[in-house]
Amino acid sequence: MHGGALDALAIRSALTDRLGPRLAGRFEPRVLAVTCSTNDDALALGHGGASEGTVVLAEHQTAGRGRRGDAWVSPPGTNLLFSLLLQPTVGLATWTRLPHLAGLAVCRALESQFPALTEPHLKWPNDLYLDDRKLAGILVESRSTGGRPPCAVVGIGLNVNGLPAEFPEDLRPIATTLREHTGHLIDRNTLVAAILAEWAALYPTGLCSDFAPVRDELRRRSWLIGREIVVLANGNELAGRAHDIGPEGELHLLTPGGAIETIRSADRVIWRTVR
Amino acid sequence: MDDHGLTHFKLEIEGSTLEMKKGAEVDVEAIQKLMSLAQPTYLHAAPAPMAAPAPAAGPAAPAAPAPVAEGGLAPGEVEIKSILVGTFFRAPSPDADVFVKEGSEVSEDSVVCIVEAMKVMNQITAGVRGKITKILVENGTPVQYGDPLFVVKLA
Repeated sequence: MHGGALDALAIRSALTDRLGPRLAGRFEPRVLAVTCSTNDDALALGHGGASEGTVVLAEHQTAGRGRRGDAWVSPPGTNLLFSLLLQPTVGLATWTRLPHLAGLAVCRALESQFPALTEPHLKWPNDLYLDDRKLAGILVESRSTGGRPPCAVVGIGLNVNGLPAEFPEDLRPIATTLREHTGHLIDRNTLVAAILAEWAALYPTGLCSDFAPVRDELRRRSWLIGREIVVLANGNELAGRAHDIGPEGELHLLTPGGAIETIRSADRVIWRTVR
Repeated sequence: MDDHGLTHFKLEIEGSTLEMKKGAEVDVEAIQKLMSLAQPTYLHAAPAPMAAPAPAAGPAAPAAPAPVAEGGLAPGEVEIKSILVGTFFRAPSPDADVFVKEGSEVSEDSVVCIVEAMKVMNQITAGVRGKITKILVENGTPVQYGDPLFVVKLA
């Protein structure tokens, strides 16, 4: 383990410092030593009637995953792996905003906690990049059941106190950690509280109101815009230049023929070279 | 209406209106629309044979349209429908086992598929107990709100 352990009381206290007791009380952190997947745990809790704001954090995940089942690798006790349970009152069609809001919450928290840090960017659809390498991944899942209101979980895996040498060899050139950039160990309890506090500011209006300000921030923080990319979706490949982020967070791709394709779903987004 | 001596009945739910007047034709479409609003369930059972409308007083009213069988469901079968627009996936990842096959037994909480909408992976649960008899959508294809995804023979 690098740095201190995760601690629900410390997270709660840091949240209260930032948000005051009333807003902080909307979050209920639960720390697990080891689990298969915090997303599964949070979904199961939601299914069992746990309230919005329940946060499942784990020191270690044995079956952590990214989008479409990709494995998420994290040495025990080193990083932030957590899932926030939500019960959005808006229609499912708007839930597609959740991953974008989560990405922005992490970006804003990093900037407030580490002002000297290089600017974090969001790589559509679900990664956070620092200095052109992956620092965090976001996976939003929901479970819908006949008759009962569905719940959603926002899962975040953020590389904090690891060292690049600890990554599997194939990840070393493409992944990074906060410690590598800051040069010191980071208190994960304070960091997760900062992310949740940013979330508390973004979530209500970002989900229920005009998405335009969020879209503007997504454009500003986009790592992809302007890059030549290949989008892989369901066995098909589509090449072009990432052109813009659409009104609901879609990716607009400028194809070689000059058409703008709207991408809503992708298994992989591969970039070639920076032009 | 006869039992309660009513001659006029009007119900409004979420912008939909059902209006019944004694002697007038029954608005089956409006009733069905209201039923779907009042029961936010994601399952649609095979329509039960509809009771014939009571003979209306006065001049012969046209008969209500016959109920249309939905996708040829057998008695005791229900459809699991998509609750959102997205891409239908039968497995958690491209090389993983599918959640269910034809013949799989499911319970209310069994996850039967994922419908992905722009990065949000929505796990759809069966909502009923029974056996999957038909899979109606190809893996990786787009689905619309309300599209039937599976047929389940209720246990």
